[in-house]
Amino acid sequence: MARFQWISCGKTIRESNRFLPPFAPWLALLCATHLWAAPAVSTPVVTPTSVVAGQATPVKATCQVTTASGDPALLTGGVNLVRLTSPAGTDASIIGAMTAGSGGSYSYSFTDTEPGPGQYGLQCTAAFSATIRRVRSTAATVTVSPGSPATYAVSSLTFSVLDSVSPAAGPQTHSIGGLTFSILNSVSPASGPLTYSISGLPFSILNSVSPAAGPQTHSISGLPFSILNSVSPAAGPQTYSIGGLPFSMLNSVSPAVAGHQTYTISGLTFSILNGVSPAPSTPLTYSAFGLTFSILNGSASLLGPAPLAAPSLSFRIPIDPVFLKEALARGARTINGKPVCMDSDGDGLCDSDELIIGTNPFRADTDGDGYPDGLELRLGSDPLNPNSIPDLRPPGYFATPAVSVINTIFIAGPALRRQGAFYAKIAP
Amino acid sequence: MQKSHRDFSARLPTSSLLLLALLTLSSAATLAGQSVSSGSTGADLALNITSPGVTTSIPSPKGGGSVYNFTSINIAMGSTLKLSGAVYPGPIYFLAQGAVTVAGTIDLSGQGGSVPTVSAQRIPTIPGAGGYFGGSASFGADGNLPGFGPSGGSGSAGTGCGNSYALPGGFSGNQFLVPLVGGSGGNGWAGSGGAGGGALLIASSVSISVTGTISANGGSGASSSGGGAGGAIRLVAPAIAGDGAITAAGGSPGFSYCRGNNPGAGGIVRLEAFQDTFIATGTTGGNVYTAIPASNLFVPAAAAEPSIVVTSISVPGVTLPVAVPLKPTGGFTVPDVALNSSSPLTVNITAKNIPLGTIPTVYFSTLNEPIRQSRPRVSPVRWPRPQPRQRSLLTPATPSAMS
Repeated sequence: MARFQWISCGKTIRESNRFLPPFAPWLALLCATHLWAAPAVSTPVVTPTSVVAGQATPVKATCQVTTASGDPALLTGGVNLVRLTSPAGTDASIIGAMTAGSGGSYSYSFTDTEPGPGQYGLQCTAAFSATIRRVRSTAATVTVSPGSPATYAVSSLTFSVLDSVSPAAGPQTHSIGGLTFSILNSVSPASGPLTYSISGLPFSILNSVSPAAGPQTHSISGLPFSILNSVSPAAGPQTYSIGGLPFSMLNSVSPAVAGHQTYTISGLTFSILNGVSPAPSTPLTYSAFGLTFSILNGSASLLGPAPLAAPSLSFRIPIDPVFLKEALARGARTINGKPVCMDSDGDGLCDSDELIIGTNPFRADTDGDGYPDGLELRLGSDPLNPNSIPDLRPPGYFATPAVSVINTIFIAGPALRRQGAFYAKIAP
Repeated sequence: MQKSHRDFSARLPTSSLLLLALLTLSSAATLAGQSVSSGSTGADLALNITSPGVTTSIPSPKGGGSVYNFTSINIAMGSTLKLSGAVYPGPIYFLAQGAVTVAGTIDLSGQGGSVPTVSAQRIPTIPGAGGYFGGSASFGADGNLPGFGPSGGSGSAGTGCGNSYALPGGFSGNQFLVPLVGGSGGNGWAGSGGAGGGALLIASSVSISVTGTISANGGSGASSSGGGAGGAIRLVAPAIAGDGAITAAGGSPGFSYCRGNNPGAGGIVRLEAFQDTFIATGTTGGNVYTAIPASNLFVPAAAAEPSIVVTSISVPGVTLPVAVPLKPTGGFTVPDVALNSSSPLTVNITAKNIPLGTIPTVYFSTLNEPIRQSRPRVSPVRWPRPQPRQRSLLTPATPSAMS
């Protein structure tokens, strides 16, 4: 019976009007309401052929609609991809629609940007205008897995970021050793240098492959330097460059342990004790050989007197005599007995000048030989060498009191007996 | 006010008294943690100047040199301890185990200049201990002397107002007052130049109170001579208090003859204490530095103090050289040395703790003659010696110059 009705309606309503006039309205109603039994030239096939299980968001699927020649045209907007399930358990919804074409084989692609990681049931539907006929595909299941953890590197410290949504909806907040920074990850993998910020210091990273296959170029406060991020903790000193000056850094543990770390710039060794993080709000300025560079790196000890065990700098910067004269004058200037410049350790040298000279601005006697740094420089000894001590004699000068002398020898004639005075002195 | 204070104390409950006691102990503990060691051995016992008037001499240190190791120091109100360069040639170091109280005066100021009425009055002015003499004046055709010291004022009289004028004394020390050095003398001109202020270090392991005066001012110039420079005063103690005067001002100049109307350079007052509550009253002079006490006072060992002294003048044909007084005056009223010779003379000087290779120079000035100086003789001079020794230098003085 079902087959008869299917065929009967399939032989067109034109024939039923001639042979069954009394029953024509009923049959027309029957054929119009019984869609699945309506006659068609062929049976279209709708298949979600390209739904890939285990893919990352966004979900991409392709519906294939195949109709035979003479079949009714697809309804405009009639091909849709329906998500049958959702993470929240809501009903299926139309998530995409395409313009229909005429008879033949058509492929319709859909992109579902909404779901996150999870498992979804997808189904395609196709509607035909002439027969008001809708064809469904069988349901397919797609599994969306979370994105793989991406690896980044900041100053050779490797850290991982689990990027759950791509592109990120907004800046994400991460933390390294207590230093908070934000990342706005728009495209992954990054297509170009991305700009990040750590405590206000912007730097850019071109994140392509992790671990980095080669040196990457970064920038802190405009000074470019390159980092080859290989293994963290670093297995050995790595070589960097700031303003063309190479320096090596042995990065072991983050945050830095309480002990001092030793760095070198152009052979100049200096120590940094990175103790407390986050960093103070203002960058600290250092200088070596006239090259000034800033580090906004938390080191609480730099805000107060350095521990006595702090190793002194092991080099002596050739000091420009003109600069030294000016520095000594600055250090000696006072108003009401107070230095006019910041002289934290009271050694007669301004803190800023000590950073240039290489002495410790928080230790009056950097080399520990008992003589304040300013005194050593004033008297010509090396404040960075404990074996060099100043000459404490009065400024190269000793003099006797004058000794008056009168010569009483008799001289004939009108000449007067003359007086005189001796004194002796030792001058430089 | 006192009554109110007493009433308040009387009403203090026991808990408040306990709190006050704890605060006092806490303060004492803090002070104890910031200790200062003067290094005094106490060998020179207590310095206690209570006699009204001026005391010009105290016993020499037991350890020699110019470093005193007192148990305590007290300069009573109305008493003055004058530390003159005529008595004490070098800087003075007062170390005290206990408290130092200066209610009177410690005077290391340089002598002011004067205008001679006869040539014999051309006498260098006397500095404070550790300072330098001011240059003597000219008189008629008799020449003047420049100021003594590392920064002694120079210039010569009688050449008008071109480039010649009397310069004041300068201060050659640094803000640490290490080494401790006094002010230099001003240049003599028509009057004698002012002498430099002296140099004094007072260190106490307990405290220093100055309600009186400590001065190391430069002497003023006379007529058109230069003023002497202020000297050096360094006080080191855990606490420095008082409302007295501590001054190291430069001496005022004489009237302006040409361009030489400059006062002597200001000296330096340095106060090193963890608790500095000293408030100066009246006019203060010199540059004032405040700092926390240095770990090293830089007190010279008596055996290492350098010195140079003119000991005698050898006269050909005379067996024994003519001795120079231990404290020559340089004055011509009663000359230090009287000679009777027409031959070249040898001036003998003694130096100790002078580095190897140092070249001493002997200067001679006389009537209306430019100052002459010995030419360096390097090769035979070998300094220092294990023990003080004499070294004779032949001066270029000629009999005619002293005839």
